[in-house]
Amino acid sequence: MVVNTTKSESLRAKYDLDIEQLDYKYIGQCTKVKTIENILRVLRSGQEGVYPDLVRFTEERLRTLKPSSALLRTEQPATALRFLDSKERDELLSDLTEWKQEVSAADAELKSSESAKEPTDQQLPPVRGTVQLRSAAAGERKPEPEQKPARIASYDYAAWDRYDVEAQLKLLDESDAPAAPPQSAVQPPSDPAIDDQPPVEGLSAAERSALALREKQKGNEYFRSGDFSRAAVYYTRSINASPTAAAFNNRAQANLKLGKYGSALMDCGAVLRREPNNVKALLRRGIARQMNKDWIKARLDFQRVLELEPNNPQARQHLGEVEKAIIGSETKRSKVLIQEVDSMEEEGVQGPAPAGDGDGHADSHQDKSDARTSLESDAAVGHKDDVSNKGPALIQEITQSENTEEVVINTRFRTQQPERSKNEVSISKEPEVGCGEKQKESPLPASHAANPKALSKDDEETTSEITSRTPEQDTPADAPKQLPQTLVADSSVPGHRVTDQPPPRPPATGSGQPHRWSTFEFMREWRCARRSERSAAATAVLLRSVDPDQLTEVLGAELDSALLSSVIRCVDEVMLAQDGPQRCHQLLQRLTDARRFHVVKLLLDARDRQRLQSIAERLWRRGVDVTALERSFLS
Amino acid sequence: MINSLDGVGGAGRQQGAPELVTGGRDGSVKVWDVRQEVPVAVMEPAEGEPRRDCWTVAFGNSYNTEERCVCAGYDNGDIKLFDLRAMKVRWETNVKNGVCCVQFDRRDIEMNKIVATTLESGVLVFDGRTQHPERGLTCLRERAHKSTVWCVRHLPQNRDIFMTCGGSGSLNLWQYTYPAKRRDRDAGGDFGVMGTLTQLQSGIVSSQPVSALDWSPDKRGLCACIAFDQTVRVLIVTKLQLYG
Repeated sequence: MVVNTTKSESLRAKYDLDIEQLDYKYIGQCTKVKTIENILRVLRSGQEGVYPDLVRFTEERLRTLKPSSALLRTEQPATALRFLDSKERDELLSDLTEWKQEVSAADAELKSSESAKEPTDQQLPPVRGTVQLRSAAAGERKPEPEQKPARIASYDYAAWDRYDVEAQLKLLDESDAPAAPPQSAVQPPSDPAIDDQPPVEGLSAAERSALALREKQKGNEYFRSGDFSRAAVYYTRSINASPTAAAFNNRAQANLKLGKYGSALMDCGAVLRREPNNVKALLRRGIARQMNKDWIKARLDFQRVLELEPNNPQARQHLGEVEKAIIGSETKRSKVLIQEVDSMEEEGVQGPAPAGDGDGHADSHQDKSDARTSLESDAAVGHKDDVSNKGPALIQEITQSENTEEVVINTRFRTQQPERSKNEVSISKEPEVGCGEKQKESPLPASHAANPKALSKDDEETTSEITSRTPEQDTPADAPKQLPQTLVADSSVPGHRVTDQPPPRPPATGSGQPHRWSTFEFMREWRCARRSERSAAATAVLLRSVDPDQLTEVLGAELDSALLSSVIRCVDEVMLAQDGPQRCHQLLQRLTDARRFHVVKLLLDARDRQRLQSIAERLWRRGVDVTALERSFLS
Repeated sequence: MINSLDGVGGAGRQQGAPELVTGGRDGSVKVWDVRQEVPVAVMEPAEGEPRRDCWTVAFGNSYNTEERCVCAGYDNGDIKLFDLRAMKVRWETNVKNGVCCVQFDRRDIEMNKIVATTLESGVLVFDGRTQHPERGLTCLRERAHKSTVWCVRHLPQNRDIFMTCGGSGSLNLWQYTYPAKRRDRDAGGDFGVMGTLTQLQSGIVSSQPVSALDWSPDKRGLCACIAFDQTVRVLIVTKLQLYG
């Protein structure tokens, strides 16, 4: 665009526009904001004629393209009170009257209060020293040009003798180096010393609260501009002037943004002590706890928020996240410390060492409300060489509350995932944990010296079985290599301080016996199987090894849609052919008795339903009565 | 003759010594402490240099007892920022049109924004948080009022909203929004990044220039202005609480 500046030139020529461009069609399809703006200027100037409709059309077009354009700004006369409609006017006037009353009351209080005196000279900082600053004028004198050293004449041999080449070369090099960037006179300090304590000496309560309000407003402004650290500083000043719930709440939010979850928790706590139903504080505390991975308490907070405000979208979203995390963490919770103690054969003494270690570990969780201990014995094949002959190898499984340190996992323990089941087993109570007994015990306090019992979370888990076994049971030939072995800790071992233990169950022998699974092991094996190449076959092997009557306990509350889907697929593809209809039917029947089945069943996708249909059909063809099964699966 | 006056400080309201600053016809900017008669600081051009009218002065950056800055605008378009603790010129620039009014968005925090209004409808917003060693403070220019912009005043309850008064008798209410990243870096150093300025509302209150305006610190939206038609008007701006 060529811009000519002669006065006689029209705007249209100045903006380089054709007359055809001042047209509805062109304007309607033009997308360039600058062109439209120039067209609008030309039209508004009236140099090409007066076309009010075209002007309006162009304005509309500009509004669609760039609503914030400066050309669209209009100046209207300001409204007077008499032109407002009655509702607005009444609102305004009542607001003003209310405010006037408040201010008069505050004013009266201030006048009557004691501190209506001028600040004394001692309180004020000293007078600034008297300084005169001559500011640099506009046309500063340039520094004198450097005097170049005089040239040495060619005939001046003496001077040439004195000439130092090295020094001159060095000077040249230095002058070539880039000069340091010029620094301005004063730069703002990067870490300004803002006092935490605002000037509150000698102020009455009303003045302090006014000051607190102003500091909080400053904090809000910093928060809006994204400067959370300074916002927190100003909220602190507001709290130091006069603590209010709003300032604590805001500081909690600023701390959340800064990632200081501990401080945010404290601030929310301060608010909730004064106002137990403050929704914002509850929400923020929930978020802080969620960030600290304190899932249970976070869930409580979000549920509380939803009780108070059922439509709070943030609370819902966070609650969903926390629930997912809880489910995830329940499978992760227990870390295992493997302690080789004795071989399982002898009823020998268990040294206090393992128990002591376990206790030691547990003692460190004294204050964690859900610290529990359990034992799971393990003598995987590869460990055989490590197992001493004295008693069962004990694995102390120490469960931790969610945000604690992790116990060292013995690397011999062959599993790659950190997932763990919720099941815990008592050290020596395995024998009690017999066929399908459900142990319902309360969570163990950290001092499990008293009661190392099997704990079930929420009273719903199956007990993990620990059976004493003979070494022959080590690896059933048909089991996949990854299956760990379980051992029973001998209950008669005195070191475990367990009382009232019935004598251990006689070890199951023979690999034909269905393996007694713990939920944790089962799930682990299932995951391995699922990831392996022939997952259906591996799952089939796994399912075969489970006694159907034990299936519900083994599954515990672990049944989810993935598991159900894989079982169905396995039955469909492998087991129906290999194991016979009765076995499959029994398996599926037992599956319907598992916990959560009804919920998970609803999540089956179409393919699984088809598979079920086909399974049912095949079973029926082979003479199995599938009505009950169909009803429970497919209803 | 004193063209402009500003004050800051004193216990109970803001921290630091209670001081006034005046800008006069002789081009000097004088800082006075209320406790004594001799000015505590004088900023004036050197001997023999042309003396430009200082049309406006403002205090800022007074976030603790030591720090304080004075910003002065002159009739030739100079804007100078003096640091009173270091007793130096912190920054200066020239905006080509006489500067009618200068204000920091808040006196008692670190300097965040400086708004300057000039002849010929200039409204300039400077970012005071980052100073580039060569380029100084970054600036955002707007044109408004189609005439001299006489005055700018920030809302005491929200530092990002301000009102400008124009020679056409109009008042414009503006809101500044910050950019995602307030500073950036180049070869010379850090420089500030400007956000955007939106005009929230505008209204004509008079046929004569509105030369001064002030907000009430107690009631959000209540303000008073004077115009050359010898009237004092009290105005209410509603719905400001929606902006924070």
